[in-house]
Amino acid sequence: MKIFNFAIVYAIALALSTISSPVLAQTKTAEIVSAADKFLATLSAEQRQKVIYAFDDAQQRARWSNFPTGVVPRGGISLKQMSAPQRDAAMKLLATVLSPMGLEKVNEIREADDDFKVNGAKRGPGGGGRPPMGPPPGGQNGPPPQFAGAGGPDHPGGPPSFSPDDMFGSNLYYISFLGKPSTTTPWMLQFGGHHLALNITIAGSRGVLTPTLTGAQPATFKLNGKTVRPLSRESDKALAVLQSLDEKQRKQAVLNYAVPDLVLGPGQDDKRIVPEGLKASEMNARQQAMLLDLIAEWAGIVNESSAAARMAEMKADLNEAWFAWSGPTTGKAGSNITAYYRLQGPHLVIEYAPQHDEPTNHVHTMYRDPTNDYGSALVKQ
Amino acid sequence: MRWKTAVAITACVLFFGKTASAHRIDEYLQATILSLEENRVTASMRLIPGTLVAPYVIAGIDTNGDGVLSEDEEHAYAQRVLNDLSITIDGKSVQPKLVSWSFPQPAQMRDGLGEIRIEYTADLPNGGPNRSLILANHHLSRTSVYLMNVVVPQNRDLRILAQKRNDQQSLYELDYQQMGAVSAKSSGSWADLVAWLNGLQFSSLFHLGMRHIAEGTDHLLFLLTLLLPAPLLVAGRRWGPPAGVRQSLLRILGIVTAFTAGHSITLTLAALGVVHVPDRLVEVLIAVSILVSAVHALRPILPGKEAWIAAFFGLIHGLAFAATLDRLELGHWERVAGILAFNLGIEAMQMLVVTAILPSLILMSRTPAYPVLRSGGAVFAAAASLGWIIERLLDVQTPVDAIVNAFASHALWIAVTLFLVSLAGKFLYASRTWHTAERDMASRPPITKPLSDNCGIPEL
Repeated sequence: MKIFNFAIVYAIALALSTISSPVLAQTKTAEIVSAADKFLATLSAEQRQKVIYAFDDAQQRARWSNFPTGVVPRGGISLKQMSAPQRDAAMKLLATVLSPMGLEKVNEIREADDDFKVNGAKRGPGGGGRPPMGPPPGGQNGPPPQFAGAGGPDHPGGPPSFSPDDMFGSNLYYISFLGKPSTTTPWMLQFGGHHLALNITIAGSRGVLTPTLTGAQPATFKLNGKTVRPLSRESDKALAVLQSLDEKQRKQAVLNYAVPDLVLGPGQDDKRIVPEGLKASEMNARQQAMLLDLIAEWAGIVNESSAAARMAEMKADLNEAWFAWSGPTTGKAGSNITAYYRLQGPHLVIEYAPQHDEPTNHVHTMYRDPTNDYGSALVKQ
Repeated sequence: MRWKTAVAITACVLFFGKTASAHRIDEYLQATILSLEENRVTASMRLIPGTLVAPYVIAGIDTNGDGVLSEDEEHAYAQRVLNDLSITIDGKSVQPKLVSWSFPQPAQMRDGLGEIRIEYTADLPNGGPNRSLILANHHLSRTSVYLMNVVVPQNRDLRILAQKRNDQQSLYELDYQQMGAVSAKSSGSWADLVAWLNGLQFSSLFHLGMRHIAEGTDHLLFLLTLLLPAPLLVAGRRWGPPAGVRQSLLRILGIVTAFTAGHSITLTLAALGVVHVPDRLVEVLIAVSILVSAVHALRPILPGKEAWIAAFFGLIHGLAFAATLDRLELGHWERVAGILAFNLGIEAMQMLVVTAILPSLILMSRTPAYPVLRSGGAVFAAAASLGWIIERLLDVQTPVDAIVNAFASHALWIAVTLFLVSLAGKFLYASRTWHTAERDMASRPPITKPLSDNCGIPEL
């Protein structure tokens, strides 16, 4: 009798566990849709029209960049253009869509932009502090030799009427929707600005974060006396993977050429490049686990239910994943690497590209799924 | 609006000097992504001048200095970029041809936002299996930084072996293999052969073949139905008592071999494009083949000809296998090897199924329960085949697939149950009933002689 009861309990538990994961994902989608609807309800009719695009609006879908919004205008409306209750609702929506880790990352990227607005870049002697107002440092370094005689720069002279308020700051981040929030039909939420582009496609119980760009300048700064590094783990964990490699593995992983920028940055959708470096099948179990943990820095930006599905896919793909590194192989955890690295798999491209002007303090990263950017694989079905 | 942006970005550069950037400053980024086809390479280039480099780049394009980039000026600049490239294949120089080009507004370039796009292509003359493409980019090399990559080739006859670069990526070497050329030259070393074999995806095609049988319930149903009466002797116009174990085994082997021979022939011919039969006709004929073998399992309509039925309908099933292979878009050489791998996979799965079911059939045929199993199985197969015939002829939906798949998804349990039941039956009846029956039979004059002298193996 007891065994019989146990069997029933066991069967029920088994059934529940098999059906619960999609059910949980489904309730998560319902939560997100409700948060999105609440945000949209705070908007005026005019704002709402500005913020919602057609789901198949290819132009808006690709309207994201690493540049400040003053340089590359985004669609939708910015936090700056919102009232306090609207902003609260927008942030609540982000908190629902993203994981706590993801939201923290987003907020630190925004805070870096606040810091940049006040302090500018800090490279070189005398760096730091607000840059002086006044006439431009004439001629910069002079024309590069091969251009000699081609004529000087033709920037308009005199102090321009420029306000950093229009260019940088944590409130210059824009929210937009492609399609109406729905628990069944696919739609997209975009949130982005300088150094940030989240493109989240939600199709039923599935949530897809690719393509997403993160970045920071400064990539290390002080806020209220505390050091903040928005992309710290992206740097530290990758360095740890590199340092865990033996001589033979390292030889394969470290590329012998410079990679000056993202290969598959903004505008480079739908491209599958041949992977290079060290194949994860040549790594031991511990190194593979570290690699997965590194991928989780991007995959884990979204809420746990979407992130878990993505990580399961990453785990299944792991033997086909590649790790490539270009640049200095020395460094220590806690300060940003100056090297470029790339993780690639059948469903993954991650790039980490320190920028030439300030390598330790200016980083762009890219996160893609060449088979499912903008949820293309889900939408097709 | 553009003016405002320009002022803002200029201000940003001027305020923060070299260090404040959101954009590229003193470099000219030239990013190339190559895409390889058979005997052709296509490249898309993005050229992004930094803010400090832009004025010189613009001056280089706007040769008459009127501040506007005319079509001629743009074309001339794009051509100049190509002239600054040198491309060789296997040491021979090839000429890139412009395909398209687009230029941003000068103001955008000054902001560090402008992206010049140039697409070009170069024909690559025929060569051996191992090829080496070298691309050197000398365009404004003093201020430029480079990215060079190749996309995964669509054509699976092309295998990227290595990418080599100088430290700036201004010099790039792409080593690759062109499969079709392997036999043309037939000079390949052992290593080439191994690389080529690896590229054939032998094991994945083998698995595909196995899966095709495991999931292709119609193929299996045909074979199983044909095997149902295999352990029996013919008694007049009905199925009679069991044949000897050795004879049954040989006959089953004969049927399976004949089926294999049949479908191998057409799979090869169809996969190589020698014969072509419309898919729908093939699918209908497969359903008919099941019906024929079901009727045969009820009453011996073609006694002793099982192997010939198997061989004949094997020809038809082979056409269906070829259709699967066809959808994989294999290259020519991959296809030949693919047929072999795929066929071996089919064979392996077939043998697995037959081995799993064979002991049950032979044991069960020695019990009085066998006619029930035989007729039941035959009726089921006949019903399924009729459903499929209707479905495939008239394009209508019937529940046949759902029902058959429900059985197939429990195939393992059915096979195990069948085996246990046949074991139990054997023990129950072997000692008494059947012995008496055998004794009875032995005392009577023989009803029939074995199906055919060579145990059903056709003289192929």
